[in-house]
Formats: sequence, structure tokens, C-alpha cells
Amino acid sequence: MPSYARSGLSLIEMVTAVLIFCFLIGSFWHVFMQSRTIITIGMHDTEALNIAASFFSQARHLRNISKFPNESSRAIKPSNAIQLPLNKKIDLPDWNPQIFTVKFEMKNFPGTLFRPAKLLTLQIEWKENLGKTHVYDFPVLCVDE
Amino acid sequence: MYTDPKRALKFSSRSENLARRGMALVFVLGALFSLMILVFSLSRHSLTLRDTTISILEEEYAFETSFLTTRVLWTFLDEVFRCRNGCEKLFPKTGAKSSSDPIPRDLLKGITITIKDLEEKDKILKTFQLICQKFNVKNVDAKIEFRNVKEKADFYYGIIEVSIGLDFNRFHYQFAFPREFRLYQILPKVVSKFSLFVRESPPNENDYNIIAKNFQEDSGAKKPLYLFNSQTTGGFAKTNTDLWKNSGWVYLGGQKPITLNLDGSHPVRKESDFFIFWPTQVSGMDTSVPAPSIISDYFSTKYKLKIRFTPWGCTQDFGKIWCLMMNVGPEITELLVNSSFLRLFGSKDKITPTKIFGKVFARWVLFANFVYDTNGDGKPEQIQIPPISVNQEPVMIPGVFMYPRISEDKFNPTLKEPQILSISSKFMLPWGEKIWQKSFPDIPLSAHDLFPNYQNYKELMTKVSREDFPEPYTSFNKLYDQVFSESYTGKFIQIPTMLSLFREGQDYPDLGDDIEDLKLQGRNIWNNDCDLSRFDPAKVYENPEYPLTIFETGNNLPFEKERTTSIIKKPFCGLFKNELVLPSLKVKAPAILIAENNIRVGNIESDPEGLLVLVSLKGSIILENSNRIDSTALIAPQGTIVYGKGAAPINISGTVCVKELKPENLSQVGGSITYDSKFDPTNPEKWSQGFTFITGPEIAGTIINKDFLRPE
Repeated sequence: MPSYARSGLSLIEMVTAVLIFCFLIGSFWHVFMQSRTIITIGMHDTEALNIAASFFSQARHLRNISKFPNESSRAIKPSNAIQLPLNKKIDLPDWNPQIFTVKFEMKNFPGTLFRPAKLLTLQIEWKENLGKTHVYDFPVLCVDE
Repeated sequence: MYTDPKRALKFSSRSENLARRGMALVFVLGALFSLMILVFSLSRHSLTLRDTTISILEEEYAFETSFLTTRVLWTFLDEVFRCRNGCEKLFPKTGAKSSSDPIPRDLLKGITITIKDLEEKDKILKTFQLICQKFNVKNVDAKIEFRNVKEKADFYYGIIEVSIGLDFNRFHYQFAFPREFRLYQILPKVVSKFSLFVRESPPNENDYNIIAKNFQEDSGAKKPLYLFNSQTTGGFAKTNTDLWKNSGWVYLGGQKPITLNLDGSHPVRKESDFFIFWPTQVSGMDTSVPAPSIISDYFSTKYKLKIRFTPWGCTQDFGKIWCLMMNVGPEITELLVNSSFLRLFGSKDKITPTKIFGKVFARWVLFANFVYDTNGDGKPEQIQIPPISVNQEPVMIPGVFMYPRISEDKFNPTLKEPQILSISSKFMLPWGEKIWQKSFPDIPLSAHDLFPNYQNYKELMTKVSREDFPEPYTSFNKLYDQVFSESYTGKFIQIPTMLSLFREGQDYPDLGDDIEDLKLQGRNIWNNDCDLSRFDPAKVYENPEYPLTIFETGNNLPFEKERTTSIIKKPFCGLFKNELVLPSLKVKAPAILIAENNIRVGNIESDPEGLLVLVSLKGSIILENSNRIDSTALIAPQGTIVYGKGAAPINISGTVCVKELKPENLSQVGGSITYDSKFDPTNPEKWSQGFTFITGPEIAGTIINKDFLRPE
């Protein structure tokens, strides 16, 4: 009479196989999640850079704004442009307010220059999935001609 | 040996199972391994992506901070370029580099300027520290390099590259921000050494002599145009024999000679030209010095009389007052009643002799008087005028006598009565009165008592320059070739005085047709343009290669405005088609404004760093509602400079170059041209500061280096 028990997997083998499977799946899941997290961080970096680039490209072309009043740091809401005196504005792309906090500041340049100048700073703050908070102060110096 | 077939079969089945299980295991492990590679590869790619995004973000941040630093640095560089000062390598101060064109020569080699080479290095480094603190970067540094500098006939061009280095997070970054630049020598060629450069002479020799004024008048209906050839503020210093070398020169060109009649109003009068003969007296430096004169020997053995010649300018009184008419003319020469509207050597309050080029002559009177001199000291003796009435006291006056100037036919038989002249008592009396004989017995009764013949008389009498200055007086026609001094020759001041402005091998007039040898301070500033009569000041600006920003209209200026005043804040070089209108201008930087046609100018105010060259290529420069033009070269090689609407006496500081002058127009209100030493090309410092950088906008910056920073 043939022994069928001998032809299947033993309990130990099954348990071992399941454990290995779980370990591997767990590892894969971890690596997958890590990649996802990193990609998300990268996406945020790119989004922040996109906001900053939009700010630079417009702020650099502002001329003769040294007489504008100083503005302490104020939050900018998505879809809202940065409003400046004399109907000047800086448009920014949309962002997720759950992720990014964007602040704008306009002050006289603190150092000594031969011409009047305003220092415009766009502060972009966001929290990584890993818990680290990024804060970048992107500066643009507008010097009067 | 016996083998049980069933056992053998069972054994065979177990072996197969084991083989299958082994294969399955290998397959599973292989699959897992492959999956693991895939997942790790995914992880690796994720990390790379992360690295890339963070790297881009950080790089952009570093770039923007560098860009900000560049802008900070450019504000300092712009100031260096605006002021032509603050960097010894670019704008050496006196004596640092005396050879010509130090800047282009160094630029062509490609020089590097560091922060330490700038005078404002402390401020710059402090600002860099602030940037480090505020933007969380470290070790910010900068250098400026000149690249690909090329030379053209009248300018240079190339790239200025500002390199910024800084550390941020894990990396050291180096960015380069280039800009194009053009380098001009803003001082106009040749003409910048001249207070006034007129290319052509007026149609008639006397066209400039249009001011009619009496002896006691400060000013007539027409006003003079003064040339102040240096910016001296104090009195004339006779010891400053190099004054003319540091002054603006005067060129009155053209084929025809130009005669300028000197103003003969009273020496204390505002417009009097008498200072040309007697500068120290009229400038109040030494009133004890006697008036300049020439004293003859005794010309008659019988009478104790000498002839004293005194210089005198032109006045209407020569045509009005009988005794003056008699003593100057008009029998045998022209009466000089009008004086020139153009005053080449300044005014009595600001005496500025300089080198004159062109066929230019001064015309004036050498007034002859008899001096009664018994002791031979050349000074008139005091003689007593007898009282006219019984109660009147006798008066003592110097024995100076006028004598008429008459034609040959009137020389015989007798002269009209000579006149006694007392300058101090301001009266003149007839000589022949018997009442005088008591105090002055030696009375010549006719011309023949004094002069053997008419020729002898003529040589000794009053003369008018140019027409009848004989030998040894021909040098008096070279009056504009002298620097005046009160130095004595014998007992009296001699005219003309000894210090001269001539150059070796050139007699007066100096036509300026070969000025190559005038290498002041060892520098040849003429660049083969050594013939003033052939020099065309517009040639440089008409060169199609000369880099100019072209504007279609000159009505809307490309400058910032404060109310109605346009302000030039940065170096500028532009061509305006048609007419250029400058109602009010403030100049804070060197600039060249060229118009194809007329330029209408209001007030031009200039900062110490400001220097403006206005060129009308085919038209004229019209002064409208203006009374002040600072540090400006007004160049109209095919036109002139004239007053337009709202004419008011204008003070031009700078240099003027025109084809011709319009005396009738300019003398409406008069004015002055003061040579601004900022235009002096013979001064190495001013020459160096004449180099003007005009920079273009920032060309996109690039990263040129990125090094991983080793952890400290």
C-alpha cells in the first residue's frame, strides 16, 4: 500500500515555507513602500522646485521696487498669486496645502549696497513621509536700476 | 544478488520526488532571487531618483543664492564702472600706470579681479557673510574674469564673467555668470583737450568784434562769451607756468585770419580785457605795481620828453571823445570801437591763459603819451597847474601829455595844440595856454620842434596792432602767445611779457597743423590725428562698427525720470535718429548721446562721476531754457551752438566743438565755457577714468564645478 503522506509537504516544511514567504513578502513590501516614499519625497522636491522656479522667473524681472513697503513673512494660499504694490504680482502654480506651506517675505536687503534693493524670499516648507521637515528660503534680490 | 522489484520501484519513486522537490526549490529560490533583484533595483532607482531630485533642488538653491551674490557684487562693480574708481587694476590712480591705455592692454591679456582688488572689499565680504548666515551657505567667494577681449578701432569688447563659489550641504558649487561688455574711451578724440574747437573761420576777419561799449560801462547790449580754460578758482598765479599745459586749449581754425579786439573799458569794469596786460593789478594782488608800459629814450635833445606807450583795448569812446579820437586816429588808422564777443583768456576775475591754435590775433591800441621826465627815471614829474581864479589853490599833477595822431598832410605846418592829461585828476587841459608857461616853460610850439619828419613822428605815435605795429613791436601781435607776469624789465613792466606759450620750432600763430610733438607727460594722445585742420570729430561715431544702441526717436529718452528730469544712472552709449531733445538731464555716469540731427538742450546737471558727450552729427546744438551745463562735451562738427527759446546766459562746463560760431546769436545773452579737467586726455588719471564700461544683461549662469565635500 503506497504512503501518500510521504509524497506531500510536511507541516514543518509548510510552516517554513510560509515563514520564508512572509519574510520575503514583508521585505518586498518594505522595499516597495520605501521606493514609494522616496518617489513621493522626490515628487515633493520637484513640486517645491516648480513653485520656486515660477517665483524666480517672475521676481527676477521686477524693477525699481525698492520703494515698496517691507512685508514680514506671510502665508500664501494655493491658487493665489503673490500680490505686490502697484498691481504687480507673482503667479505661482498650485500645490497641495496638506503638504506644502508657502510663505513670502519682502524686505530691504540687510547688507550694504550702492543701490536700493529689495530682498524677496519665498519660503517653502513641507514634511517628508519619513518625518523630516524641509524648509527652503529661495531668495531673489531686486536691485533698482 | 537478488533485488526486490517492489523495493526497487519504491526507491525509484522516492528519488524522482526528491528530484522534483529539489527542482521546485531551485525554481522558487531562483524566482525569489530574481524578484529580490527587481525589488532592489526598484529601490536603487528610487534612491537615485531621490538623489536626483534633492540634488536638483539643492543645486537650484545654491544657484539662486549664487545669483543673488552676483547681483550684490554687480552693484559694487556697477559703481566701479560708473565712477571709474575703486579698483586699482582697472582704474589706476595717478602715477600707478603712466603709459597709454593701461586698461585695454591689461584686459587684452585677460585679467582676473578678486574681491581683494576692490576698494569696497570690506563691505562686500561683510555682505557675503550676511548671505551665508541668512541662506545657510558657507565659504562664499567671488572673482571677476575678462574673457575673449577683442580690439576694434575705437572700442573693445568681450565677456566679463563673475564666478561665485559656495558650499551648501554636501557640495561645493561654482557658478559662472557672464555678461557682455563694451569698453569705450569716452573722452572725444583730440577735441577733449580744447575748451573751444572751431573748425572754420567766420566770413570776415572782424565778425567776432560786435560788442559796443563805453569806457566806463560794465556791460553793453551784447554780452561776451568767456572761455575759462581751467578751473582755477583763485587769482592768477604768475609762477604757474605750466598752467596752459593742464588747461583746455583753443582752436579757431579756417583759412582766414580771425581778429579779436580787446575790450578797452576801464580796468575795474567787469568785462574789461585790461587784465591781459596787467593781470596782477586787476586781480587785486599787487596794486603797487605800475601799469605796464614802454618808455622811450629822450627823443629830442631840447625837451625833457620821453614817449610812454600804454596798451589799451577797444571802446566806443575812441569814436566819441574828441581827444581820444585825436590820439588814436582816425586820420591814418581805423578807430577800434567794438570789442570781441569771444574772450579767450577768461575774465579779470578768473584769468586762464592757454595755448591758442589758428590764425588768431588780438587787436588793441598802443597808446602814446609824452612824459615830462627831467631826471631820467622814466616817471613823469609833478607839475603845477596854476590856479584859474585868485582863490583857487595850485594843483600838482603828473606831467603826461597826449599828442594827436595826424596824417602826413596835416603834419605841416603845425600840430594842433597838444593836451595835458592827468589820470589822477581826471581832466585834460590845453597845453598852449600862456597861463602854463610859468610852471612849464619848455613848450614845443609845433611838431617840428619834436620830430624831424613825418616818418619819425609816425613811428613814435599811437599804434593799432596788426595794421601798424612795426619792428620791434611785431611781437605785440602775438599777444595770445603769452603768459603774463608782472616781472620788471628795468624799471617798468614790459609788454609783451616774457613767459610764452610757444613751442619750439613754431612761431605765432601756431596753426596746429602738426601737433605730434605735443606729447604732454610723455603720452601721445593724438593717434595720428595731428593736423587740427583736417581732424573730423564725428568720424569715430559715424564708423558703422562703433557699437551704439539705436533709438528711432530722441523725444522719449530711455532713462528714468524724476518729474521732468531724465537721469542717466549707468554708463550709456546710444544713437538717436533725427532730433534729440533733452529738456532737463541729470548725469550720474559717463554717457555718449549721439543724434543725427539737432540736439535741443536744457539744463544738464552732473554728479562728480558724470561725464556726458553730446554729438550732433549733422545738426547743431540748441540751448533752450538752459543756464547750466555741467561736465559735457558739446560736439557739432557740421553745425554750431546757438541759443534757442528762453535764452539765458549759460555756463558750460566741459568742452565745445563746432564748425562755426554765431556771434550775433551767442552775444544776445553771453555766457561762458569752462574747460572741465575731467576731459583732459593729457592727464593720465583722467585718461584712465575716461574708459567706460557698458555691460549687457546677465547671460544665463551655468554651473562650472560641483565637488563632493568630505565630512569634516
